[in-house]
Amino acid sequence: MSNVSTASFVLTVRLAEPFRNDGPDVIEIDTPVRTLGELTTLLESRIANFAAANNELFNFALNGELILHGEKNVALHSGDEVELLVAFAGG
Amino acid sequence: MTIREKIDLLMPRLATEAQFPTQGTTLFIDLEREEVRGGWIPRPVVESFLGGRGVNMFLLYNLLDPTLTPLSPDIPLIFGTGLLTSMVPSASRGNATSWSPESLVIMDSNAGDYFPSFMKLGGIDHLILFGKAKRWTTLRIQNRLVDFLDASAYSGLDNIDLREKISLDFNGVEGKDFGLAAITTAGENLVLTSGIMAGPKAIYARGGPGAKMGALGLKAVILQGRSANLATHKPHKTRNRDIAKKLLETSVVKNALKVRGTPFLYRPSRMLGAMGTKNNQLTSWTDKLDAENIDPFRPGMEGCFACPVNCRPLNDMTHDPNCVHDKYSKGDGPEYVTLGKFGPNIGISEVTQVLRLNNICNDLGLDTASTGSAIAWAMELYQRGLISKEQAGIDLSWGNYESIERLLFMIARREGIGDAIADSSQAVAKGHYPTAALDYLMAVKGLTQSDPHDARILKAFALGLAVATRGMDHLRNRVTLEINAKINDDPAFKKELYGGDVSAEPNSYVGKEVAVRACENIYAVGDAVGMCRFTTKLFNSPSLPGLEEFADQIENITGITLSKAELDRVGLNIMAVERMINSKLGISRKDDTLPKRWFDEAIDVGPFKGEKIDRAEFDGMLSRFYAISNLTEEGLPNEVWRQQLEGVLSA
Repeated sequence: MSNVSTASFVLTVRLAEPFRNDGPDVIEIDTPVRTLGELTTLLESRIANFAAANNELFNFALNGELILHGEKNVALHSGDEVELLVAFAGG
Repeated sequence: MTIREKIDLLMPRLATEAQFPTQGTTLFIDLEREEVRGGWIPRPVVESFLGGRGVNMFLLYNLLDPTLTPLSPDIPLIFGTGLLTSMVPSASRGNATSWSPESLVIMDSNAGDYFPSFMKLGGIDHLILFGKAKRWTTLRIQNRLVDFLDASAYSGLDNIDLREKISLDFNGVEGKDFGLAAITTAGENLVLTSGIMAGPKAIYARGGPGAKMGALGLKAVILQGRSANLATHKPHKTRNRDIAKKLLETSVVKNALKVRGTPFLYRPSRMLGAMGTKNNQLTSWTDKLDAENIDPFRPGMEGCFACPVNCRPLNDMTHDPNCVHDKYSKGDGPEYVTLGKFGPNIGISEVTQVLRLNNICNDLGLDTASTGSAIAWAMELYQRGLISKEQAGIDLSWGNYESIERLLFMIARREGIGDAIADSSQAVAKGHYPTAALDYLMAVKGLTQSDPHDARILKAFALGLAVATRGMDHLRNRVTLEINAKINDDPAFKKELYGGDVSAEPNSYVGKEVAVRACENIYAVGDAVGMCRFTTKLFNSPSLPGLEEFADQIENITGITLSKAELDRVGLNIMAVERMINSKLGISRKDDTLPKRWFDEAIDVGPFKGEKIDRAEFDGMLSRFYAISNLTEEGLPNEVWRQQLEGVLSA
């Protein structure tokens, strides 16, 4: 991540209920990450149950738009809003 | 040939005794003559179609006279309960089958709550109802004995009052002492969007079952009595515990269905830009209808017979001073379908308004999918001047809540413009709207879309809606997991899941036929055994009970051994018979298509802005679907398979 500028990097991440652990539903990330894959790794290190709970039911949305495939490679930029939400389609 | 003559031919082909310990009888009930005959479905038929939807199709194939019309008393209404209904966790479902007066193709509607379970517990697997009763009639069935009761005291009652009165008259509690399927005034008035109510909200909804039952002069069927211990071939409770554990540990159950129910779906559909809005002219709508905004009005969750999931949200607005306080201040629901059809689809953006419309529809016995779609269609026609202000009589502008609430009662009574909307997709054929209106009808094979998800993006969804045998309905074959990025990004797992390569890209046409085929098979089997769709493998999760669990419990409960592959073949058989019946009704390849709008107009918001259905790509996908389904280019079983099926259907 050396080629990523650390100057005033901030991501807003909104978490679905299973990831909150009685904490806030919105957290800010100031560690520079370039992709959703990198963000996932970071969240796994910061949120105790993240890896276990992050199963196929949860999708990322970036700036209000749902990501349906190629999740790990989606590029992130400072100021982005990321949401981890329940995504299912059969009801 | 009359239906009585057809039954005369069928009876000698039925078994004269139960084919396995838990098999229930099949009753043929002549409502006109008040006569009852009975038999048992032969074992080869069970092995080919199991029960529920599958055996209902065997019966319809044998009893349907396509020269009549759907509401003729010689066209039967068939109730079937699943092979495992009431005996396996989350298997509480059954189907009502006929020739649909709404779509004019097969009518096959699925419901849960208690009625299907009381059929099984009362020793009945199928009820075939025909002939027109001489007066409004209630059937009371106890220990397989049928009483034909005068229902004139119930005529004119809607769902809330009817269930209350029947509970008083029969001195019992629904779900504990009896199971009940009944129609409302909408059904009495032959409203084509009316269903048969199987509970406060549970409804045999799609295709106009309420109108069909009303045409027979049948107001209600009450099933009394239950034998607590059905003798099974082998002990099955240990396996039931495994199934219940599997259900409750699945993420979609634990984190979504048990928490808020299906309204969770609204948010992802909206964020995808796939939320059918204003009759699918638009595809995104307000976040005010996101599921968490319903939280203040949800006092708890309910469930069907012996289901550990409890996925049905209740609603209660009595604490809100801004809401009208009457019998519609609280109720059961809404599901995502209702949220979408009575929210964005008609321009409503307030949670409490959707909840109230949901409660009114439950009382009036209206299918929220068909009714919401028919209203949205009328609103677009009004917007375009194809319905004049004079013809409408009320303001049909998008989001006009007062008009919409009033309209629901007008539909149920067939008053004014409500009479046109009550004819649903048949409104042009019945002379209410000009032919040009058909360009804006969001329907396939005469059935309006069941759910609000606009399928121009996810091509597997689109193919499923096109080929579904009962019309434009997502519950027959939807590849719901196409929305899950983690599954899309794991090609090996996805291949294993569907039995073939399926493109990771949701808007690609490549391989989608493989996924639709797999889903259509397992869902048909699920319907035949009585399993809820929400808890069937591939519908929302790869981890839910599927063919393996069904096979185990079929063997334990009936003694019939079927492998996973054989069960998969049963699913294919059921689809094939449905296509053979539809063929008798004039359906062919040209009908496996999508609404004109989805081919011609692109989505203009969201991550898939610009997406629509390409006609050539769609046609290629359809041909591939036919090929892997052993269907001819016209969508019928190939000759060898057809002969095999006819051997079972006619033997």
